[in-house]
Amino acid sequence: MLSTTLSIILTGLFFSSMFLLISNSLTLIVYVLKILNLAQGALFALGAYITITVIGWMSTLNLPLELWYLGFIITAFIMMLIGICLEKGLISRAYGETMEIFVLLTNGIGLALYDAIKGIWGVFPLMIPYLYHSAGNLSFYEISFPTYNLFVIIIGYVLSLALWLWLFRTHSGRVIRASAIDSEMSRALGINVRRIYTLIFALAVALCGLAGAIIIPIRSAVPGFGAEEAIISLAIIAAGGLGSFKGAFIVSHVMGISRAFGISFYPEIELAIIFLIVAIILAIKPTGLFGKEERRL
Amino acid sequence: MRLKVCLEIVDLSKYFGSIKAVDHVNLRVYEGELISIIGPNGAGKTTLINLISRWLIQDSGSIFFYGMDISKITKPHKATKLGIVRSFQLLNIFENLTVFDNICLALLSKYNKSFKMFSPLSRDKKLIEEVHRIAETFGLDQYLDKPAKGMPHGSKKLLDIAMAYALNPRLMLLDEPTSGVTTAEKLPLMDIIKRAVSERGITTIMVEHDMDIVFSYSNRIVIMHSGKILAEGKPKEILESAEITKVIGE
Amino acid sequence: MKKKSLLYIGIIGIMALLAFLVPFFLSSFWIFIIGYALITSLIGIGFNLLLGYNGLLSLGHAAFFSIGAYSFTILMKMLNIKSFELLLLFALAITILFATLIGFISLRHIKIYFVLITLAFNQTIFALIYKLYWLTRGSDGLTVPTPIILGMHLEVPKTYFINFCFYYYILVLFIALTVIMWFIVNSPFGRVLKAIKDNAVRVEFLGMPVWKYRLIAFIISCIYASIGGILFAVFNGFISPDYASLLFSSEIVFLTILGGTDIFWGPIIGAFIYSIIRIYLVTITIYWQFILGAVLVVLILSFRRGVSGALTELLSKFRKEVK
Repeated sequence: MLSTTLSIILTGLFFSSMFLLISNSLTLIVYVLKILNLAQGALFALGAYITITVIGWMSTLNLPLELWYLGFIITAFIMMLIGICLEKGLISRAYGETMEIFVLLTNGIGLALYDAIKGIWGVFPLMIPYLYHSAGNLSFYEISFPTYNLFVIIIGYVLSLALWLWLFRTHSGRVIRASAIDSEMSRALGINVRRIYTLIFALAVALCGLAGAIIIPIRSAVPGFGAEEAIISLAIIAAGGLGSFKGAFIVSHVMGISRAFGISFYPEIELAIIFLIVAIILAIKPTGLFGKEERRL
Repeated sequence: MRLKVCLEIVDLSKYFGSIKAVDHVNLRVYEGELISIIGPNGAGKTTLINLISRWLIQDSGSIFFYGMDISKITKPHKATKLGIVRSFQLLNIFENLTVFDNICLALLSKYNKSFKMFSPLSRDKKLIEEVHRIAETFGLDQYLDKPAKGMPHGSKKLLDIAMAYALNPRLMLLDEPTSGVTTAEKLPLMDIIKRAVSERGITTIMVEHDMDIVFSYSNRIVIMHSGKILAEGKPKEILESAEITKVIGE
Repeated sequence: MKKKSLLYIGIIGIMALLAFLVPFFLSSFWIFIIGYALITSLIGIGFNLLLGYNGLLSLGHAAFFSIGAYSFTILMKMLNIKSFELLLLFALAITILFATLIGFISLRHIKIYFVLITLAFNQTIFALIYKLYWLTRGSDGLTVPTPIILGMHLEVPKTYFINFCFYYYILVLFIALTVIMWFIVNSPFGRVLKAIKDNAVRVEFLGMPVWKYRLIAFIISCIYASIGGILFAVFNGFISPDYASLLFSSEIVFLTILGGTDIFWGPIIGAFIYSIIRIYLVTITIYWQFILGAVLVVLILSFRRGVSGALTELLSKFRKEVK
């Protein structure tokens, strides 16, 4: 009994870690740029596919296995570049418009990206299971937990912690937060808000892509990869409060652990339950757990 | 002849954190009066208007409108339906709609025709006539077909007040009706307003900063400071009190 | 002014005539496209009541399309009723129930929260349709048997029924519902909606409870989407959870914006263009989503007012030159 619970909790933390990465990416964009990004599913998938190519290439170089993990960093870097291009080329053209415009814009980008992925990498499932299996399993307390999953959990928390520390404890983070809270005032103070927007967007894209990257050894990349996680992450930031890192953190865990329990006991309606939970939270507190109170009407 | 009491404010308070925006205010307003509330910025004048129009809920105290306790009302539209109508300090009109539409909406609300889905507006001659009449009263008839945002600022203010007037209120709350209006236009604007409300005997509470206007048009003046009412009385009485003039001078 | 209305009536007349002639001159494939266009036009007009006239972006209309389609089909199979009209009424009753509930909860939110919660509801319905296999046959989908329209027992082959009888049924319903929406939009109620979009606070201060109007508009909008779903179920003969997906919700938004949200006819134009592209395109390339996404991006960035907006601009430029 204890071992099953433990294993479920660990799986839950694994899911939570994934959700954390994507929700943090979303929250960053909402918090700083004040827009909702509907393209994160496609970006998540893009990260996964790029990793496959990168690591696939690395495997031909006969490098030691440990260095393959560098592939993730390379992917993150490529995703950052993509993020910069997207922001400068498309997103920034719509600054000043309502949030709905950005929803539609990022939705369109997401749609196009998904098909672009299909075009570049084809429709057949791709995978790199070697990395996952080579890490082996950890055995303790009568359970066997894949080491790689532990790696995912650690990465998720480390990155989230790093992000949080940077934003809330460093000087540059304070500058970012100032731009987020009052962009006009920040501009008046000489802060280059546009560059911050580009940076943050690129960072968020990299985070999202990285989430896709580190998950790929466990799953196979198919068209539509990540669509489910993306929607769940949207639900998470909505329930946690748009723009609240604390909320995203808490709700990610609620979702992750519920999902783990759900899969073990009630796999059929797991997804519906997730959305019902979110709908209920939002029905009670319309702006999410830690969201800012908006004036009615 | 005893005048009817339109509005009775009893021990009303509203706090924003530690700031006492409205602090134990007592005020009685008689039917048909035009009262001006004056005071420095932050005195609580607009908060008082917000409380009466139910945009804000008080922390303590009560408000009686023709004897009815309205303190429990939480939605502004209910207050409007009762006859308490306001205009806004920062313009609050429908910028993208025509002036006709702006006034028309007020009338739709008044006559409870706002849910009609199948009778086109063009058939309602009476309504259209009334829109024209109100526009004329406020000198806006030349702008009827044009979008509201193209009008000069003074006309927009008049539109704001015209909409309130169209609702046939019993109590009208005017929040700085002449702010942002050029000096030349202020008196004509106030003349129009005064004439309109006198014709129908509408009780009016006005928040104003322009002392000339305040002393020329008000039946009574109320002075607020830091959330409290310092003094009230007829314009002559206030002028003759030296210490009050000192406060006004600030 | 008179000339303008005559021109409008003329155009509408020609369109109607063309629409009536469709089954006689076009192949099954194209009859399907036009039928689909009429159906999605209805959805678009209903959707624009929310988006164009009320300023609310709902990502949940695919759910209502499916609620209509699935209620209709499931009731038909469970209760063994064949009358289209009767089933329509039942399905609409269910739709109104859902719409009132979901609307009540969603409309307490503003702007982006509204978008999110409609998205959440859409996904919930999608998940339910997908997983409740015993009811909806999940991803297998449901075949829709031929109903009896207007009580007429027609002894005709199925293709004839779909391509002729039911096509005209759709056309007539389309005209009727469009006219109804025209009345709604130009009525006092429609004006209040426009005012709410402009300045909701002032509407409240004019004595009108804003949420009531929004809720009614929402319900009407969902009814249109639902009728679209029901018509599609019969016309297509088959329904699947795909039509409850976020992708389809996006397509609904897409066709509305494509046509233009400013003008009443916008969504109709958008629906026709979208239907032709969507159905025809799928036969030439598997990358139709890319084109959809790319066009959406271009629309947002350059042609905010959609095709109808671009057309009206062209028209006014033309008129200026003529003067």
